Formats: sequence, C-alpha cells, structure tokens
Amino acid sequence: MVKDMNSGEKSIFDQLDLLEFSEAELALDGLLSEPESSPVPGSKEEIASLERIKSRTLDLIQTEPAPELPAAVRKPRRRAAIGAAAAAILMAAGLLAFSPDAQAGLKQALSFLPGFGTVLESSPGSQLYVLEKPYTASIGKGKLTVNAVLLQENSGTITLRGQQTPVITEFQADIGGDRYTFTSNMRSSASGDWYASFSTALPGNLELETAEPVTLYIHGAAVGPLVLQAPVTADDLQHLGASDVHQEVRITAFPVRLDDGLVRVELVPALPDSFSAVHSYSLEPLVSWNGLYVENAEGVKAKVEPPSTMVYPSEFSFRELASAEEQSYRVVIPYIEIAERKALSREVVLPLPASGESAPLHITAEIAGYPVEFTRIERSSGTAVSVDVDMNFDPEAAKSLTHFFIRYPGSGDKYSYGWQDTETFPRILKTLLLDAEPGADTLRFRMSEPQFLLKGPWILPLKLED
Amino acid sequence: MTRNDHDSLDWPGRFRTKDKQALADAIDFYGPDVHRLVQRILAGCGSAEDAEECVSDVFLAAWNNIGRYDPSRASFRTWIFLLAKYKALDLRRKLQPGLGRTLNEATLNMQSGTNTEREFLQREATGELLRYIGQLREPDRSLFLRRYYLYESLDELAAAFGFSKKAVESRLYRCRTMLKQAIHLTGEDGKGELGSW
Repeated sequence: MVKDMNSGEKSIFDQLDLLEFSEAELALDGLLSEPESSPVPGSKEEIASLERIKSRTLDLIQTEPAPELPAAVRKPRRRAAIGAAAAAILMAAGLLAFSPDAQAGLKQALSFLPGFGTVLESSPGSQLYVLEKPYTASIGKGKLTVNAVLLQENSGTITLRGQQTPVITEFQADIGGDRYTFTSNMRSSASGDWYASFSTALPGNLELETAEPVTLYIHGAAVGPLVLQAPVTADDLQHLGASDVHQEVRITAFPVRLDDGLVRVELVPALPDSFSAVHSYSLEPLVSWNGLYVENAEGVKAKVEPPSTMVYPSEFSFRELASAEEQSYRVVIPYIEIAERKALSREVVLPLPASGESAPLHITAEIAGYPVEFTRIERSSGTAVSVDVDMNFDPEAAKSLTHFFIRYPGSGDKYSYGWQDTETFPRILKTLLLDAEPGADTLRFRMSEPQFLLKGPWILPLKLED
Repeated sequence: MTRNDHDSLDWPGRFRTKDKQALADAIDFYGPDVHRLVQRILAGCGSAEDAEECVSDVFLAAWNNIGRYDPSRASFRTWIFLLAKYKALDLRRKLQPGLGRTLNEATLNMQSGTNTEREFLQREATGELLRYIGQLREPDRSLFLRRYYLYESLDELAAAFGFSKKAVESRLYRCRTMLKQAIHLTGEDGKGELGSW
C-alpha cells in the first residue's frame, strides 16, 4: 500500500482497485498523455533493472508460447525459434485465447485448426477455412510444404516449411477470385530447413465455396490447388478429438493420415490456471525408458518418427503398421513436462567458502511447495561458484520438480538457467554454476518458474478417418 | 525520441506484426514508469525481483494480447498502465492473500448474502463512484485518479501539478468529502458507509 496513505484514504484505494479493466480504460481517458520524449535514464540500478526486465521479456517470447495459447507448446531447450514463430502465427491470425478460463465460461464453439496445433474459440457461424493436411511440392532438390492455412474474416495466415529451398519472404495467393499478398511476420531456420508464417488482410465478409481451391504463387510457380474446408467444431475440447485427463490436465489428440503410411498427430492441452505451458509430451522423454508411444489394439507398437526441430513439440508422426486390415491405434503419453511460471519465486542464501575451497551444505529450500536440497558448495575463484543440488526427483510421484530458473538479485546479469545434470538420474542431482559478488561471504539468488514432470498416463484412442 | 518520433512508432501495429525490436523499444519507453507503478502497488510486499518479474509480465501480456487493444477506448500508454495495475494487484494478492478483500467484507459491512449479491452491490458502488469522479473538475479529477488509481505519492503529485504537498492533500480531502456526500453508500444495516474517508 502507498507509504504516505492516511487513514481516510484506504477505502478509496480499495474501491478503485475493484474497477474492471474496461471501466478503467474509459475512466482514465486523457489522464496519461504520452511523454514529450523518452524518459531520461535513471540511476545505474534503474538501468540495470530495466535491462533485466527487457532480457527476461525477450527471452520468454523466444522460449514460450503466448500464455493464453497453451495449445502451441514448445520445448525451449530445442525449439526456441519455432516457438516464437508459432506464437506469431497465432497472434497474427487474431485468435482468441483458449484457456481453462475461456473453457469454463464457454459460450462459443471450439474449432480445431490443423497445422497450428491449437483450437480457436469462435462464434457459431463464423467463416473459417483451414487446410486439413499439409500440401507438399517439390522445388528443385528440395521440398516446400504448405503446413497450415487459416482464412477468416479480416485475416489470413499461412505457414510454410522449406527443406533445402530458398527462404521465402512474400508470396501471392488467389482466394475467392481475388489475389492477395502474404508477407512473412516470423521465420526460423536451422540446417537448411526453414519455417515461416505469413499473413494478409482479407475482407470482413469472407465467404468461400469450400470446393473452390486456393492457389499460391511463389517465385512464379503455382503451388496448389489447396482444398480448404471448415474446421472440425465442437462445444468442448474433449468432443473435438480423443481426450484424456490426469491431474487436471486434459490432452486431446487430433490425427490425420498423410502420404506414405504416415499419420500426423497434434496434441492440444487444456491446463489448470497454475500451469502455464506444456514443455514436453515425452517424445524426448526425461524418463528415458518411458516416452510417448503408439500401439494398435493388440499392443503392437507403431514406429514414431524422430522429432524434428522444425515441428512443434506437440506434434509428431507415426508410421502405420503393415496390415491388410484396418488398424485402430492409441497414443500413450506416460509423462508430460509442464511449467509453473506463476509460482512465487523463493530466495536462497548460502554461505560461501573462501576462494578455492569447498564445503558441505545441509540447506533445504522450497519452491511451489517442493523441497530442494543444497548439499555442497565450491568457490573455484572469487566469483565462480558451483552448488550441488538434490531435486528430490521421483519419477514415480504424480508430480516431481525437474528444473527451476535462477535469478540474481541486484545483478546486471540477465536471469539465467544455470544448471547441468550430473547424469545421476533418477535422483536428478544438479550442479548449479553460479556467480558470487566479489568479496561476498554469502551467495544470494532466487529460484523461480519451476518446471515439473507430471505422471499420466494419458491414453488417447485415435479417431482416424480415411 | 521526440513526440513526433513516438507518434510514428505505432506500437500496436508493430506489436501485431511481432516486431521484437518494438517490444524492446516499448520497454525502454514505458518500462521506467510502469516499473514505478508496480513498485508503488507492491510497496511493502514482495521483493525487487518480484516487481521486475511483474513488469516483464506486463509487457509479455501486451505482446500476447495486442489483438485486444482497442485504440478507441484508451491510448496505448493507458492500456499498458492498466495491464501493469492489474498484474501488480494480482501479484500483491498472491503475496499477501488477505489483501484486496477489505472492501468486500468490512467496508460494505455485509454479514449475509451470496457472493453474487455482494459483487453486484460492490460493482454498483464502484460504478457510482466512477460517475462522480467523472464529474470532478480538473485538475481534481486527474489528481484523484493518479492518487487513488495509480498510487502516486503526494510528493509526486505536488511536483507534477506544481502544488505544494499540503495543497494536494487539501484538494484530495475536498474531493473525498464531496464524493462521500454525493454517494451516501450504505451497507445492509445502514451503517456500512463507504469507509472512513
């Protein structure tokens, strides 16, 4: 509360704190004029603080999806670029959030958007057109894949993936008899492959004949025709696809048959408020002997394709089993990794030994109610410190702490993820590599944004259609 | 950066196209003021790191929700400040769970009734308060909102408006008294007047 508040003022502060956002928007009209110029840089501390804020913010848009679009989950350790790209796609498309809150108060229909790995909340009767499965064209020695298309009132979004082809920054498309230019708003690339999203403005009264295909014109070549259709729609997520719930996390699978016996599966989560993102569906499992698998009714496992850096971590493909008979499949997800960005950070203070010395520790801290034991500290130089940590990790537990972010109060350094495994799984003992202040006799940092392994299994019987 | 430069920056447009440089620039431009607002709301609870994290969350929210920004309702600066206010209040409630319920349970002095009824009455009271604030003359309206909505200190307001601190206190007191007389909010027993202004 305000330091110089007098006793007669508290109720006014309380009352105005109750204003709804929409009321406040109007009430504050004209109150805050734009400054005539950029704010003058403040003290060194303020500048360092602003840099930390900027660094954290930019880091998070690189590594996490829009928090209200939990469907588009990414694994920051491997797929930072695609995470940012996908978030851009969704925001450029003007999608509404799909969140548990939205789900709880749902009055609108949910539509699954193939290739975007998410659902869109929209009014019944909204004109939406999507591409059910990717369209791939050969270009020279490489391939160009139209991964996803969403056309809606006022905007269109198309994602392309290039493999050993030149990067595209702009192309044109014939839609409903008119030609539109799509421009790139986000792009990522790795090892000759690239992935990009493109958007354009469309009329507000977009109405297409679903039979009328869309053709793209890229560097003079026609790509298509792309046959669009209305998305699959339902009142709730579990009725959109195969769905299962554990620990309040619902996962719904959306499969589609591709060419060459492959089936693409997109996984869409609905998360409780406390969780902010799914980082992994165990395609690259932390519990190495127990990752995601696909099996038929007899328990025979189908081959899951190795994950690609250019594909969402919520998306994978598997190869159908050779059989004369129609097979039914189910996806089994033994574990998922989730982040709790909203968890309160916790300060840790550890005694520092002299430079060049180490000392045992018996200090336990907690984050989000989970204990973290600091067992040893070594100061290899004046500022370089390593700390051994026992995360009390237990893969048999319903929920077990796996990671946390580290922040240094008062440091100009950006906030870091400074840890490494010491290959002693399943205990998950880590050695944190931290920075001490020169001459300090204590090491002070904060643990924040914990990540957990949640145990399932989530079992999703796929509904495959020819 | 001059005002004209700023006008041409088109923050919402650049946020919509996911221009990351715009996000960095916006943090430079609005960050210090947003940080101060968050610090004022969190005063007495939370750490400096909590405040920084909160400011970062404000800009992430702006980045992720730019599709919801409506320039006909508020300037971009106002919108950012509103995001900051509510992010900071959320964090304060989390850090001090007992806070934020004072009005609901004590000020309106209602011992019975469903939450829905309470919320309805509370909303009615807030709406009426807003109407009267809108009728205050300048600079009193601005003083009032910057004090009670944006948590600015008396010293800050004195400096911003060119008044003495005492004059700011007097004007705010006069506004509170006027609003109290105008609104006459009561609780169920007729005694639950809107606080002790």
